[in-house]
Amino acid sequence: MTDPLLSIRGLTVRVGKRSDAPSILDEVSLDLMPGETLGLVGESGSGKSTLGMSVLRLTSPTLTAGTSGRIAWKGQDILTMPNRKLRHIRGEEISMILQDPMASLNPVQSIGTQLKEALRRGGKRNLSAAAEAALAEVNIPSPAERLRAFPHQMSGGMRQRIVSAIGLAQDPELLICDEPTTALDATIQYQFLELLKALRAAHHMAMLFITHDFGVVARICDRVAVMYAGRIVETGPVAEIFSRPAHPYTKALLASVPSTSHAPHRLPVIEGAPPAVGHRPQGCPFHPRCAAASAHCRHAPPRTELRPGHTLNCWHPQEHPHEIA
Amino acid sequence: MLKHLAGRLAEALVALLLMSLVIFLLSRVIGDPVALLLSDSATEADRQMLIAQLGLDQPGWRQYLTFLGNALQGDFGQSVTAGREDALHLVLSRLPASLSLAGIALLFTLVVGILLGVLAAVTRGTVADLAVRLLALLGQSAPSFWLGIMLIYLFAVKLGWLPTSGLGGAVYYVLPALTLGLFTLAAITRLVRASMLEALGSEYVKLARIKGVSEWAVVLRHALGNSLIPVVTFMGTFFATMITGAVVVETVFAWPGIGRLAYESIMARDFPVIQTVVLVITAFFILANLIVDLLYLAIDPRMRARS
Amino acid sequence: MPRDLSFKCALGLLILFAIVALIGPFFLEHDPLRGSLRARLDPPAWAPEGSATHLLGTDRLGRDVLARIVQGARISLAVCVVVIAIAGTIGTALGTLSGYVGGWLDRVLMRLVDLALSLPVILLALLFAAVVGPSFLNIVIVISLVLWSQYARMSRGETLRVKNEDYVDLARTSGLGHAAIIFRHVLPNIAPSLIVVATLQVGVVIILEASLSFLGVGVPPPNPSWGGMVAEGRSYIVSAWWVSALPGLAIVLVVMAVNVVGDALTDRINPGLKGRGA
Repeated sequence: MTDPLLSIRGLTVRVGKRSDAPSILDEVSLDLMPGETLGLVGESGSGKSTLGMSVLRLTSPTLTAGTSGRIAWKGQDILTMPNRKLRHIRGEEISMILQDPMASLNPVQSIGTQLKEALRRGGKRNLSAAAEAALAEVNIPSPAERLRAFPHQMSGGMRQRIVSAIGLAQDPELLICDEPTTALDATIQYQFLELLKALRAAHHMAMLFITHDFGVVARICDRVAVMYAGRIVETGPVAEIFSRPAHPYTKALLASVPSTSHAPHRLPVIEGAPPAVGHRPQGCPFHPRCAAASAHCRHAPPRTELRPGHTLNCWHPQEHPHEIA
Repeated sequence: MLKHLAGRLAEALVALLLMSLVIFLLSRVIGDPVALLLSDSATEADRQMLIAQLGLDQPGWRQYLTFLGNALQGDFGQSVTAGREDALHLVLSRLPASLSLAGIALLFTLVVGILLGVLAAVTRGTVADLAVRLLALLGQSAPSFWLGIMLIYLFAVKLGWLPTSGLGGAVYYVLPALTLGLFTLAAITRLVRASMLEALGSEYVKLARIKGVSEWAVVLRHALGNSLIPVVTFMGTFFATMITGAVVVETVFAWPGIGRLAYESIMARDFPVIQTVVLVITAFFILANLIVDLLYLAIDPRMRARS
Repeated sequence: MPRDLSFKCALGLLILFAIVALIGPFFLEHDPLRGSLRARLDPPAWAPEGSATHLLGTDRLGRDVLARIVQGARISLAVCVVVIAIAGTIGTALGTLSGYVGGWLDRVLMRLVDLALSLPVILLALLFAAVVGPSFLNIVIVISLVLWSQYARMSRGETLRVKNEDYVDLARTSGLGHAAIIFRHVLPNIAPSLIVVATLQVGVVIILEASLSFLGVGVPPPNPSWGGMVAEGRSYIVSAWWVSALPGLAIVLVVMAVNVVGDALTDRINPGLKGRGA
């Protein structure tokens, strides 16, 4: 078996240095294989974006100070790496597409300047030609003219494609996508996902895909990790999680996704709201909202492996047909 | 864009015209130029003659039009003081001293203010940040006349490093420029610190870091450009502060500029000179605001698109 | 320094300033207006030749500097209160009206405000003061004339914001008159922003008054205005630094405290104002 590209172990992120400070991430562990796309799914506030930012050590100084655990990139710990080394990993080996295409381009620099800065770091010679090619790769029409344009002259969809071109400029091995489609119109979302798939194939990249949308996960991911209140509650191959979700939270989340194959009846909703940082309950964080909760749930649930690759943290896994049989 | 500029220019002219009216009213209606010009031994006949000579027997609006017409031809009358110098000539001869002082103060203020603002933002929460913020607070709270006197006492009287007052070589500029600039320096420092902090927390700075750009390049190439936009917006205000500050600072340092001339002519009720000085200063004010407008268009591509 | 601590210190200093200005003059040992020629330019108590009779020394006429600073605090406070009352009332009235009525009235008034903001303040004040002569009333009028425009701009913007809120619509549809809407719904809602402007202006007023008094067109002597005291001591700066330095220090401390409190209020009430160096 090959070694994982990215291996996170016991990652905890607190708001500040003190050990009693409220935590955003709690003992998170996951592995990402070369070429694999892992979906990170959860509601807003579940900590999934913080997880993505931590991988590049891009969280705010207060959070960086409160980060513990290990994030191994090809065996080297990113959290303890000197800055100079980290800078070579950023962009060249791991890159990222941010959520808000309106805010993630510098308003006072032309598209060309921002793209070429990344290409130059990638060691490209003929910058203008490389920049045009990079824009063409993300389907930007008449790239030569666009290089001279400024961000405010472009639509959201176009900006997001430019952000991807910047992200891919140095041929990274891992692309972290933080809700890249959330700010886009539905039709553009679909186009953009297809583009990402094509780019993934062309660049042989692994992807960490952060989203709250199971529909998006189904389209692009190989495996999925479900997050709730700063913890990973269930992981498994996409097909298996969709057909046989075992954690009550995953089940509830999937049930609230509209689907074309089912008759359009009222979607069930999960009662209550996710707990805020600093107000998370003891034990399983989902138990106050969980229909299956019992006294056990006040204690941290064990991590169990239902079958190879499908793990969950729960006292009361929702039995599925195969286990009953 | 041309339309925008033309609009601003028209506004500027209206402002200038209005200022001239204010000055005219203040000087003609409240102050009595005849009483100032006549000697004590003058007879009633002398008085009438002078009134006719100055056109003061005409109706008010006509006097104003005459005043405007003369002003447009560069004739602002003569100083009523002993020299009887041409008012415009007098003001223009004092202009270089003021412009060089204000220019040096503004340059020093911009360079040091931006440096300190960036330093404070980058070292946020440390002792350096605290020191810069304290300095800025002090700079915004100390009245310039007092600051000038204290600086003279310390650096000229006690330490003897710098001259106390007057205009001479480069060393003569140090204390007046420092006094004139400190308030604006403090304002720029605060402004840059705040906008720099905002820029450093922005998504586009995050994207720059994702590219693997070094921390220096992040600050200089990505955050600084954006955080200077508010400084440019406030440049007009800063320049205005400098010009009005010049009245006080030039008086304290016996600086032969138009600020001191304004003060002296007001104290001597020398209305032809007062009118000229105030109009020249107002014109500079308006010119400065126009330049700021143009600068703004140059620095922010979003503004270029809008206008 | 933690923000809270500096805020508390500044607020304490301001309260002290107000108390000194209000009741300080009743506890003075020396007459701030009359001095003894035998005690001319006596140094402050901590200086080698100083004595405890005059804690902060005396000026060229032998008047007690401490007594004059205390009396000067009262003048500064009086100018602040009256100016802010006058400028605030005029500016708020015009600004609210402008924002509420809109149309050509709004355009004309706002042009006027733009103009007032674009003219050289000190020069106008100096000119006016020189023409009508220095007196307490005149200096108050001069500074008010210069400062009303900031209230007008703020209250207009805030009125425009509040005008379209649901509760104002509700009041209008329930048949409330314009005056009642302005007094009962608009003014109470724009008050916090105006208080911020007023606080930030206390510093501006103190410095303007002191500058004009320094230039000899403010509060006329022998009244002890802080700016006037600095001017009087200027000629003796070599032999008697305290005559100029101490009243100026009083200005710096009060204005600094006002700025700290004003910033804290701005953060809390109206963050949009931030960075606007008044």
